[in-house]
Amino acid sequence: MKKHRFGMVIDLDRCSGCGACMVACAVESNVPPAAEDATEHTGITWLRVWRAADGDSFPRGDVAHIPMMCQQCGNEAPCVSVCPQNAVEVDRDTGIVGQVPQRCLGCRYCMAACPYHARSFNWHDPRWEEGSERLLNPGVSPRMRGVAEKCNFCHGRLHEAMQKAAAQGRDDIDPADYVPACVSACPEQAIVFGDLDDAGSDVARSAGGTDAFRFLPRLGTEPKVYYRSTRRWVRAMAQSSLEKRNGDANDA
Amino acid sequence: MLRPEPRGGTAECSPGDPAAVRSAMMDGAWWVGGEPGPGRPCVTSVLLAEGSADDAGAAPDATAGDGRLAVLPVGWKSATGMAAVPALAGKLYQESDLRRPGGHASVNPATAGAAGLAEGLAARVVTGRGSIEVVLHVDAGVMPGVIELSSGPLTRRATGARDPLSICEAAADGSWGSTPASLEAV
Repeated sequence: MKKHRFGMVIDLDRCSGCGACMVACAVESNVPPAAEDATEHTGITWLRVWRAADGDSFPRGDVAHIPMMCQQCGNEAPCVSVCPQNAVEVDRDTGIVGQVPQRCLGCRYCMAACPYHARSFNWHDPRWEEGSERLLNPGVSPRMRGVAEKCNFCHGRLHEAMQKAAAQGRDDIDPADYVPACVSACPEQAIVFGDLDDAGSDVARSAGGTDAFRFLPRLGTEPKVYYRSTRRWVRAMAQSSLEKRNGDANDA
Repeated sequence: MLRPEPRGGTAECSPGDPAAVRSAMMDGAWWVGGEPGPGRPCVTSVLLAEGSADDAGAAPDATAGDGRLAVLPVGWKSATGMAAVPALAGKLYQESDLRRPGGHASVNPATAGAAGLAEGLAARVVTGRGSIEVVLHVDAGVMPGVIELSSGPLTRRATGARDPLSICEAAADGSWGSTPASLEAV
């Protein structure tokens, strides 16, 4: 397979906060349902939609919903450098930052290091209601208690696309065969996915748009997940707190 | 505001019949505040003047100057009442704060301040039909004088709690309008 640099662009002006991506993600990746005592701090969500408001009072206030998953850092991903087990691996052929649960010892350094709070920890053995375990995705292994996990751009779907290409004698995947679950589930078609290095792709064009931005760019992590919004306050929110304190929004 | 909009063969609601309203909500009640869509993020608190789909109306009792509040049940399609959160919907209701499960309520900071309450505290919403204990959230997007009461579903831990809709009154047209209420610290 030729080299790729997979990434996505999420249009925050289209996102309505319905949460379909969260559910689709959990189904695709065999993320177990919430334990009885799970909260937003202890639950397992590879993709979490945050609700943000501009702080203005009713009825003038504006709301944005921000789907936040592993940002697939392209440069010195913090989780990679802190992991004592080499349980976080970057695939050089795709740029995907993957988690290997069999190596993880559960220290959760990666969760502390991740500036995007995009990682979850399995506090319990995974449990599904009787009968629903038959709906598990056979292409993804469930994780065990005591390990961290996160989004991997639906790596199982990439493998399926590669197998299909090999069966058809092609040396590269068809981009239409590799679409993460959140992208295909979004009713607003707010998420575009593809190869950022393919200048002709929709994702590359969107990522290069004037309203595109990334979260916490000052950290230099070079995320491969981009966002876009025409709303100034939404773009400013993604910048560093220092800039905001100085009253210097990112529109400068 | 949730208004039961019968569609797809659902029987017309009898005005003022909470059971029929609940049934219609399970079949797909509509937000009259407008469907979310591109460039139009969800508005979480909209009290509509009768016949107007876009203009925010005044909350009854909220502007009367008598200190009374208005409780407004809010919910999503097919998500209300005493039903438990479906397994995977727990991602939305329990493992994130994207949606509020039953037993949670949101108020404007001014409303919370007047009642001496703050984010995350337990509070009691009292109406003429009874009272319910809630976890309070402070949200500037909520109309002052309004208590947004999540109509459910309930998380598994809250199973057995009182139905949030049981303290609300249905309007003459069968919709869940606003119910005069007060907010107390627990």
